[in-house]
Amino acid sequence: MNNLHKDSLDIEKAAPILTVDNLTVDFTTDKGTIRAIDGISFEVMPGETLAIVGESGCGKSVSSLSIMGLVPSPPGNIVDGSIKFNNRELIGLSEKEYRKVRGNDISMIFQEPMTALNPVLKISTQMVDVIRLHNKVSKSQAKERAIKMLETVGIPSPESRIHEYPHQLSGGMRQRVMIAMALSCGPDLLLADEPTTALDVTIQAQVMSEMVRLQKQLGMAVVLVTHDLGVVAESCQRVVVMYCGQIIEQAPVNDIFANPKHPYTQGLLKSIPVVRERKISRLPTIDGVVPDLLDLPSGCRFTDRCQFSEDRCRTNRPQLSGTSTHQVACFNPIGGM
Amino acid sequence: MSEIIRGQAMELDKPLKRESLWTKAFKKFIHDKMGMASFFVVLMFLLITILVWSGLIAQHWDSLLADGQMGPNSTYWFGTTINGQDIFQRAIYSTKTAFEVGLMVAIFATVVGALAGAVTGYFSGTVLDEFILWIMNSIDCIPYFLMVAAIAVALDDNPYSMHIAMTLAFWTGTARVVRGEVIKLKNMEFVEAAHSLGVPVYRIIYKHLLPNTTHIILVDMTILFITAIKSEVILSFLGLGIKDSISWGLMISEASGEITAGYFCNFFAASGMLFVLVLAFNMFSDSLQDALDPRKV
Repeated sequence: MNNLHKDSLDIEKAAPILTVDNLTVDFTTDKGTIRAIDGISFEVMPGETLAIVGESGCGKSVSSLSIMGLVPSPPGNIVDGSIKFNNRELIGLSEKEYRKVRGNDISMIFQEPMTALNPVLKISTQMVDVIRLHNKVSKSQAKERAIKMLETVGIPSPESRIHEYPHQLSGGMRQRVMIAMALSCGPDLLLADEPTTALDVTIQAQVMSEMVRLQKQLGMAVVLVTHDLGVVAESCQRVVVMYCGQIIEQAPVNDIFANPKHPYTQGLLKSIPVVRERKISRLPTIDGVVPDLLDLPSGCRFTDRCQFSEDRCRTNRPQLSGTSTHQVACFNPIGGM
Repeated sequence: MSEIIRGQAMELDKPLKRESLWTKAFKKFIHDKMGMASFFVVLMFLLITILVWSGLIAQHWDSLLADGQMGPNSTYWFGTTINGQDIFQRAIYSTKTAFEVGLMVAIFATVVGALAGAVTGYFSGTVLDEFILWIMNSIDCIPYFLMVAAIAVALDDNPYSMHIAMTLAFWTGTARVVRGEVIKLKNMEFVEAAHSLGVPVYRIIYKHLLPNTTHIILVDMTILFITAIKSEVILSFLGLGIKDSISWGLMISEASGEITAGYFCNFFAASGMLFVLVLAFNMFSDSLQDALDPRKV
């Protein structure tokens, strides 16, 4: 843990590989416009693993899709903000330019390994296609590289596996293939949108340890979108906690776990089941429900569910503040600032 | 720890027996007795077509060989027409005409329909989609008999005006089916994954979406084949179809005058051949659908 912390401190000095600034994304629905993401800003350092956590519908996936330029439009619409990758603005790139970024500079892996591969094409066809899309290599060279990539992600006998169809592989294998495909062009940044959610627990552990190993080996940065705090604790250096489209807390992973400032973060951490507890009592939950995105409170969005809320929480919106490493958007941070 | 887990994974994941979707469908098909029987009937018709094409049989369909209105006998199996032409040869030669129409219309209409369907499906909800849908709706409003007549006039009695007209009339059905499937497919994660890897749109359409509709396209092709052959009969009967050749429709058209006089040979020969081919092809199409449907075991 200490080593991890040291690593993350070293990374702070370098220039960020990805800078998201005041990103705001609207979705038009029948009932009105929903602000799925409301002015979020964060940075990703080279070689770092950043976790974006939060419950369903808080805007985690939309943030990663925005970075990829894949927000479905309509109904989605990036209304404000900037996304800079290696100091290059991504918002406003033409489709053709964006295609060169996708897969080559930034790659993404998805939640559902069962449907994320084309069922009628062999693994080799799909991988060779992607490699040749971004590199001027021959088919046989691309295939060689694909086999090497499959080997890297821990697929046994890749030479024969590559000729198989997705339906012949197990879920964990498919996710590995997805990872191999995403990494085949050596991206600097990998967005992983709940990569282990659809897998069972033992396979989750395999895939995550594989990802951590690959990240070290290839030196890329990873943005891990997840709601699984166990995965976060094992594999990430920094955590961004989102709630209702806003960032409410941002800190190094050990700070978040040891010293959560925001009541919501604390609630999230409390609701993790502890295996070794003798007496199994009711698992603590956060009272109340997520507010309707069409009818958000004007102040802090967590106020209705918060046990520490005061009058000013209902009227004023707290801004992210704190030290350079640990920021929280709360008037009453737990344990003070 | 992770090494142990990886070791286990290697043992568990022994390579499976290699089986593509095609071999699976093929296996399913050859176990389908009705399907195989109908397939052989269709193959027989195809063989006849090839033989006619290569000029080996039924080349004297137009020659006046004997007395008119002979009943079936050992020389002229199905009898002769009023002019003394061999009805058997005419019926056999018509197989080629039917296949010509069926294949041409099936292939061209499916190609056009699949492309249009994929494009409209992918861009569903946009102006392009609306425009192509509008064209399709307009075409569907015109009875294709009328279209054939119009195109025949426009093309100045081109022998293929009927084929062209049918293609123009029938592609919309395929396009609608493919469009629906593509709309379903384009929201699946592998399409999003392809996007996230930087695959351009045209490549996504022809490499990821269209191959996933193959089962629909193939079945639609067989249905179009039958529809085209049946329509040819109707059109030829109305005098809008085949010219300077012979077809089952023309034979039935000829027979319409003979039946009242009590001569049924022409009529039975043509409709019998048509019936067998359409029935066999329908059964073949059904079995093909079952074999290609991934949801059916």
